[in-house]
Amino acid sequence: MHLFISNFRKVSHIIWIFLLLFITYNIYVAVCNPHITRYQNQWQKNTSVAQDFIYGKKAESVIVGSSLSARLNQNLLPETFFNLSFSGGSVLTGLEIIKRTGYIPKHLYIETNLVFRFKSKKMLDPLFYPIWWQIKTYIPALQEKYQPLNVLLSKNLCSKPSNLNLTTTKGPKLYKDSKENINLQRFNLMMKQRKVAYKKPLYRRHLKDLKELLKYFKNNGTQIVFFEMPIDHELAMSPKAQERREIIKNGFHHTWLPLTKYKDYVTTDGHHLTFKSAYNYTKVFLNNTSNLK
Amino acid sequence: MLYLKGHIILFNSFPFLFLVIGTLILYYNTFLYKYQIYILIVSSFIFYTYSQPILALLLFTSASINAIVSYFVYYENKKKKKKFYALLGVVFNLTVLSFFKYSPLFGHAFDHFKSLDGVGDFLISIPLPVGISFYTFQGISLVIDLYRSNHQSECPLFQVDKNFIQHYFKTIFFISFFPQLVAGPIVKAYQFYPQIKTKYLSNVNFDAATKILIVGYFLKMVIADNLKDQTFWMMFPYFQVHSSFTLMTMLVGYSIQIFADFAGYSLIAIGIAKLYGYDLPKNFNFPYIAKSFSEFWTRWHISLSTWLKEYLYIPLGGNRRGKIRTYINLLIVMLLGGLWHGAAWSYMVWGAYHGLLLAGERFIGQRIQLPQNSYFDIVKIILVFSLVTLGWLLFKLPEFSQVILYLNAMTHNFHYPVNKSIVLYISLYTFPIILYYINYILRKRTGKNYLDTSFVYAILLLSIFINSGSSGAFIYFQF
Repeated sequence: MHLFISNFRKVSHIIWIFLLLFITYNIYVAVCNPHITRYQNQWQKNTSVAQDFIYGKKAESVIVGSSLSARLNQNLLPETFFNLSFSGGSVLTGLEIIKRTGYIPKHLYIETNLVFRFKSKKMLDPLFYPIWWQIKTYIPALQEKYQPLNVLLSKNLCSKPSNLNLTTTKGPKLYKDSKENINLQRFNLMMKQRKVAYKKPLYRRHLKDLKELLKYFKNNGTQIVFFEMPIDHELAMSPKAQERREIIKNGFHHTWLPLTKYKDYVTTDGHHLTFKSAYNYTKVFLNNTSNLK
Repeated sequence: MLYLKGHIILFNSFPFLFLVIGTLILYYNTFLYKYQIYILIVSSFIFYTYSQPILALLLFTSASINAIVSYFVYYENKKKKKKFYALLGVVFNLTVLSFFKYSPLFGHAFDHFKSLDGVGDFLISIPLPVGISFYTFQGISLVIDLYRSNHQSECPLFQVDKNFIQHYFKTIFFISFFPQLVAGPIVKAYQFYPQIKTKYLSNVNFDAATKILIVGYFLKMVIADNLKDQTFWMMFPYFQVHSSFTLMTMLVGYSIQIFADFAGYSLIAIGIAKLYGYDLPKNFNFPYIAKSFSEFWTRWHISLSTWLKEYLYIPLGGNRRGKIRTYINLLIVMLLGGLWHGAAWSYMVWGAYHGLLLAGERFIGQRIQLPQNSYFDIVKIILVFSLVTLGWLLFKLPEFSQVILYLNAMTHNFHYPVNKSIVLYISLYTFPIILYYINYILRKRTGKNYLDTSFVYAILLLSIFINSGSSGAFIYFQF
């Protein structure tokens, strides 16, 4: 390959070797379908979750939310559920992703805790970069999930999806959880900051966007259900949290999952459930959703 | 401070790729050889004003005034008038820089005067155009170079066209050349003007350009962008809940990140310029191998440190006016160098910190004879790296109080659990940089570049495609 330029000869070596390696890696990913369990950072995990939704099989029920609902235990969720919640992300971002793929889910579960957070252009733009996002369908190695470091550190180099029945790895009926299991110093520090944040006025600039997106899905026949992730009791009972509930109840007339007993759960920082509490709440969440039907 | 960043095309974006390729096709078209400079000027303005056309006005005005002033400086025969024009050019560039860069700082000062509230608000609202610190410095270099070496000199640094229009377009080109427009390397006029001539495709060193570009993009997209997602947790208030060891690791990670980010950017700029037949000066030379702070500044952001040396330190007297004056000069240069990075106290403190390190090193070096052996060299390298790394905290955290809190957490959170994931990934992404440095040391000793093989470049290219971090703006774009 000289690309008609004589002084390009040396470069062609690099390009040929690169192409060979790139094709080999793509074949490896396509054939072996490595099961990824480790991500390098929050952003990458969010992107991978979004790409799993965009390029993967669509579930009839989709959960959208922030890092709070991202804690729902993935192993307990049946195949009919897809958790499109993002750490540091928002309901609006999740809804926009679903809309842009053109998919209409049967049920949409909306986490209300941080429902007024902004839509992340920074996340959406690279996910749907013209042409490039469609190329990623056919060249899986370009998807963030399959970065070589993730493949290596997940230690599951070649696994067929049929061998991975995650729902069989269920734990006990319920875990016993208490604040003794958490780093209290860290908890107190974060609670101090959260209490300050909860005293600030509620930010509701994106209410209109939320209304429009929910209207779009409702008009297309999706059942919309609100739910609230358990957080620290003190924060959950704060005037700001009550005000947010009121706004949603008055502004939207959709179904709600029953509010839970906050004191039954433990958080690591006032907002995020511990692994055990998240496990317990996922069971309650699934039970509540089945009662809806 | 408001930034107009995000309105230019990023080097690691598709629009940039299209711009570079499109420009190359036109640039080397045999029918358009005559218009090469104009093609690059148009591309540079597209690059700079992409979705923010108002920026064109500032860049155009700045370049035009520099062209006019420099022409008069060069061809004026009377010494007094020549000096006046040169001063005018320097003052103009510094005024533009101060107005856009330091207005918010003055604006906040006006907060204390109730009657001047409106003025303060206006000053704070002035946005910072990307790259202004770089192209105003190039303008100053043009005026001063021509003042020092004009048409009367026996051996001028470079010739200025007698035809003003030609000089005008060359100056617009010099100031706006897009690979180095927004974050350098800061090119001195005498380095660039002699290169302006017709370029031919057959003369382009594609091998060198491609390798430079691959290393540059690898440093930016694989190392810096991946480290960025780990060092994110250095921000307030997140750092407060991390252990001392994690905080130290993140600080080292940031040190590697800022090197990979800026050295990567500089290499990309140099590689792109090479495609158009222009050689930009080297901006980094393995700075973390430096055995002293003065050596560090000959290896880090070389184009800025040499600029400060040539146009500020030496005119101030350098080290020719006694010991005390040398220390003062070092402090002044580093303080201004710190302020050049931005209108914030933390940058000034960073500059003062480096000024004190340089002065202290000079003071000790003149009094104590340190042992000269390779073991002691390693100790010196570690010491310089550690203190330089500590200084980057002032870059990472926007407020000085947060820097203090970070240092406090770093020295108190020993009992917190170590975040193994952060430590692991920072180590993994630091490893290629360590290899890069080891290869440099070996190359210096053996004369052989062990990493200079097609296979290594192919691996780097593969990593760019399949192991890049989340795309982020270059750190130095904010300066």
